[in-house]
Amino acid sequence: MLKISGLPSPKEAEILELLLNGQERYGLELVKASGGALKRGTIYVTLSRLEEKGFVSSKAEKIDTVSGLPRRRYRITGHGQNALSALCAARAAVYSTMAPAGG
Amino acid sequence: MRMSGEVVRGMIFPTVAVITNLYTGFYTLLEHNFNFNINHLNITQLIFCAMSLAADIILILSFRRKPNRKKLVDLVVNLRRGHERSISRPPGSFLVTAARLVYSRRTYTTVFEPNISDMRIEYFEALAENHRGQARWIEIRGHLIFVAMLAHATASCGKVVSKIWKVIP
Repeated sequence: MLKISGLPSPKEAEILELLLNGQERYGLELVKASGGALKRGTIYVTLSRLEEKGFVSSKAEKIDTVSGLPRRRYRITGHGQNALSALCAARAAVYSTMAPAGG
Repeated sequence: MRMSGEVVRGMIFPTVAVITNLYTGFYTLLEHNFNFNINHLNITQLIFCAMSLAADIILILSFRRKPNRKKLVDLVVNLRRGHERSISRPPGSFLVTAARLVYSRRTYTTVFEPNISDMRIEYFEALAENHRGQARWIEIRGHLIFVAMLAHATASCGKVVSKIWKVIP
C-alpha cells in the first residue's frame, strides 16, 4: 500500500472515494458499501481522524431515531476532494515510474 | 412497595451477620494489636460474637429452605417459556454509560455514540424480522466492537484521567 505523508492513508482514501459523489452517508452505509474493506470497529475512529484533518464534515441528526441516539451523516469537504485528487495523482506518478523498471 | 416477610428476613440476617462479624473480627483484632485471645474479650464483644454466630447459622439455614428454591426455579422456567419476556433497556445501555464516564465528550459523540446507534438499528431490524438469534449476535458483536474501539480511543481516556488527576488537590 502506498502511503504518503500529509495525504490520506489507504483506508481514509477508501472512505473519501465512497463519499466522493457528494451525498451524505452514515457510517454503517459506508461499511456496507465498502464490501468488507471497512470494518465497524474502525470506521468511526477513521472518520473522526478525517474530520480532524478537515477532509470530511459531519452533522448529528436532531430527529429521534429508533435507537434513541443521534446518528451522524458524513460528507466530503473541498479539502478532502483536493487531498484525494492529490493522492490519485501521486499514485499515478509513482506507478508510472515503477512500471518501466518492472516491465 | 411493600416488602414481604421473607425479603425483610433475607435482608436483616445478612446485615446483622456482616456488622457483627466486622466488629468482632477487625475491630477486636485491631484493639489487641492482632494478638487475638478469647480471654481478652469483654462482655460486649462476647455478646457480639454470639450474635454473629447465631446470625450466620440463621443465614445458612434460610438458604436451605425449600420454598425459596422452588420460587427461583418457577421464575427461571417462566422466563424460559417467555411468559415474562419484555425489553426494559435497549442493548448497549451499559456501553453508553461506560463510554460517557470514561471518554471525553468529543470522542463519545464522534466515535462511540454513532457506533452504538448503528448496533441498535441493526438489532431492532433483526427483531422486526423475527430473527432473534441474529439480534442476539448483533448485540454480542456490538460489545466486541466496543472493546476493540477502546484500544483506538486510549488517548482520549488518558486525557480524561489527567484532567481528573489535576482536579484532585
